[in-house]
Amino acid sequence: MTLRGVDLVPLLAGCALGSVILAGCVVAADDSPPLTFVRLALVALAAAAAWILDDPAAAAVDAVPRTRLRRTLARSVALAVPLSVWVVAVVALDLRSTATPAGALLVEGAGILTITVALAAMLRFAGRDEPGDVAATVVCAAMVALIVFPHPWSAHVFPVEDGWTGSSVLWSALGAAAAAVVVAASRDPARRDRRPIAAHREEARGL
Amino acid sequence: MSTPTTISLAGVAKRYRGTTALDGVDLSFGPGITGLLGPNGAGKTTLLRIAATVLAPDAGDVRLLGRTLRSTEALHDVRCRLGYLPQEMGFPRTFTGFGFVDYMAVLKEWTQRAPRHDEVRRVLALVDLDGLATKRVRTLSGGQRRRLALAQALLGEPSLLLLDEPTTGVDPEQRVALRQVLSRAGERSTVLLSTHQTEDVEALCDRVVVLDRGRVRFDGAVTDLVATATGKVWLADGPDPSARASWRTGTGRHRNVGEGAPAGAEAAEPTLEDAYLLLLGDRARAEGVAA
Amino acid sequence: MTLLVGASPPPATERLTPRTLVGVEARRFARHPLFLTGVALLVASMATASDDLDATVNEAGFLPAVFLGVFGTVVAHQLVTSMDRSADAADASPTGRAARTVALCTACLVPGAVAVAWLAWMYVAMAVWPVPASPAYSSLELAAMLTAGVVYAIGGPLVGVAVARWVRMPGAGVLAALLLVGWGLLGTVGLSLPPSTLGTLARLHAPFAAWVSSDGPGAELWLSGGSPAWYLMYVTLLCGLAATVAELHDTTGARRARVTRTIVALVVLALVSLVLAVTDDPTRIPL
Repeated sequence: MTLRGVDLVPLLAGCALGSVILAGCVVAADDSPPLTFVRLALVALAAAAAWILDDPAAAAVDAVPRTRLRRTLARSVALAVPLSVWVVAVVALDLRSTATPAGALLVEGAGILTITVALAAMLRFAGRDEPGDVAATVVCAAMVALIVFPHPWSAHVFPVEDGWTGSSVLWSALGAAAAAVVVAASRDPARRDRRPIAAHREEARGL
Repeated sequence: MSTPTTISLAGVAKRYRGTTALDGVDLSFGPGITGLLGPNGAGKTTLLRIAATVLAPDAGDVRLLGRTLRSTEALHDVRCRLGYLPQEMGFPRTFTGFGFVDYMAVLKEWTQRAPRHDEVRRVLALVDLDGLATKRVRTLSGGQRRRLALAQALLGEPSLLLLDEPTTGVDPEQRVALRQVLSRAGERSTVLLSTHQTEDVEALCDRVVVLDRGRVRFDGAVTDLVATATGKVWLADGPDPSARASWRTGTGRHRNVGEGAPAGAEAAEPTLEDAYLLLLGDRARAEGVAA
Repeated sequence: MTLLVGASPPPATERLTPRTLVGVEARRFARHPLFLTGVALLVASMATASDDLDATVNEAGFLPAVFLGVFGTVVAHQLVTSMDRSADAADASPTGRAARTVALCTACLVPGAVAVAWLAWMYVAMAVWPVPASPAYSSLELAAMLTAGVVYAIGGPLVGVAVARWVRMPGAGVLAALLLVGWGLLGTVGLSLPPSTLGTLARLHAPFAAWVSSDGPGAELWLSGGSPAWYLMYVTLLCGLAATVAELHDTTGARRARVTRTIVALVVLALVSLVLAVTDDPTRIPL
């Protein structure tokens, strides 16, 4: 039900843009998929995911019984939208072009989307109620820079011809770490444990 | 018979990057309405946020409704019985008034649709927004949005109601209506009301706490605070240089507030505002209360 | 008690206030973290470019287009929307929103200045590490291709200002930047089409044009058809169009009519420039 609080406009706009680009990639794919365009679409999907945790009413919402972690996890369900677009597109590309590294692309996409949400969660934890703008800017700028920057190690992150196994391992690890960050950064801001143990025991005895 | 304590703060402290917002505050609150007064930066909002469980103190002990907030369970239980109106609050862009309060009700775990909608309608009627419930929030005026924000705090008739400047931007007629709502709430709940409107505190509160620079300067009955200004408020044709605060009223005469009224001065009935000015003295003057 | 009544505000000349405002906006632009990141990435790429200066020359402004132009779209958008919360207060000031838009557009010269520095560096680098002269293009055409990098650096931010004025949606700046990138990449599809006017049009309609390509890895490089000079004029006019569209949002009355006529004129001129760029010899020339 917390999904109702997700701003659908940037989510769907980013997914729409990504879908259009991916549709073009599927149509244009021949021997090998146009990876630059495919990754551009992933940038758009990452931008869409960045706004999932935006909550203008956070000042009041933080005082509700449902914990921030539960609310974050509920909102993360919206990630299914850009993720579905990505999965469908990669499968379609794989059907069109046998040279498509489908598995590696799926891992890459899931990793990037999770990292985007993790960044938004960290910004939320730092007190920014609407982290979407900053999260989208950072993730998209980083992705564009890595795709474009003429440096050898950017090929490990976004391989073009080979190195897919290594990049899959990298994105899997980053995605797992990002998921852990989402959980850690969704800790309730009111929780703090500094009382001595004796006081806890007193409370447990109902004193 | 002693009043049950709903909120207990013991040695509560909070600092923001070198600024002390709360400096070892010891306060307890029970059923009824307590006003929180103080200049800007006194720590009122920080205190309310700590009591609303959205901010953890750096030191000290907080008990709400008899529970500490160490466990998720306790936090959950307290929040189920708590209503909080923040000082500043945004609204999701596309929501209607009804949709927003319904959304907050969902977050407060009103899972059954029919009773939830009934409750939403009830609180919207309390703040006189039932006729505007289907309008988008962004089309509402500032005062209407403030009332909408108050409506979400009233969901479920909370045992603990924390209100940070609830009447900001609200017109006088609506303010009186809200006083009726809050006074009824104060009969069964603990209400903490932070405001700059001393007349709201005079009208609603039995007790007032004055904070200044993170410390409690006064904690007691409103009448007791007002009594401290007895004999220290007088009217004159011009400003009195010895007065701590002096301003020209609408009648053309000057109201002077100071430690000692001059001999033969026409005494005026003190208000809570006068007592507040006397209590905080030069600090209040610097905040722009005096002319 | 002394009461000040009717004190006059400090006089502000018509010329002083806009200049001051431009300075303020330019400083905000120059200090934006994303702009600084883009500059750092551009400098880093320039540092590594000397190893393959040939390729950098052939890319013709690609790096400033991305690191200054595309990044600048988001920067400019955020500069405009950062004032949204205090819009009422700002709109009640003597400086109208239209004037503020002009100041923001002028501030887009900041990335342009960095791109000019990049351009100067390119010429210095070509002098220090001489690139073999190619019979494919003249020095004028080379200058046009490289100067386009400066125009890209200014155009992206101008698009950001225009989008911020017209589109009220979270993420509009980022999506606009992605659209620009997509449109530019779409233009590169024209490189794979046979050398023809249509193929040149498919390439040159985009806000970024690649001029050099090959038929495959390791194959000979060629310069594609079209006129770099007229293409430079085309993208420059697109920049003017973006700025004018941004200004249109807040103009009223006679001024609005003038701005509208300017937009129409710019569209016509841009189309003419595009036609002239495209109808130039489409033949591919080996480098």
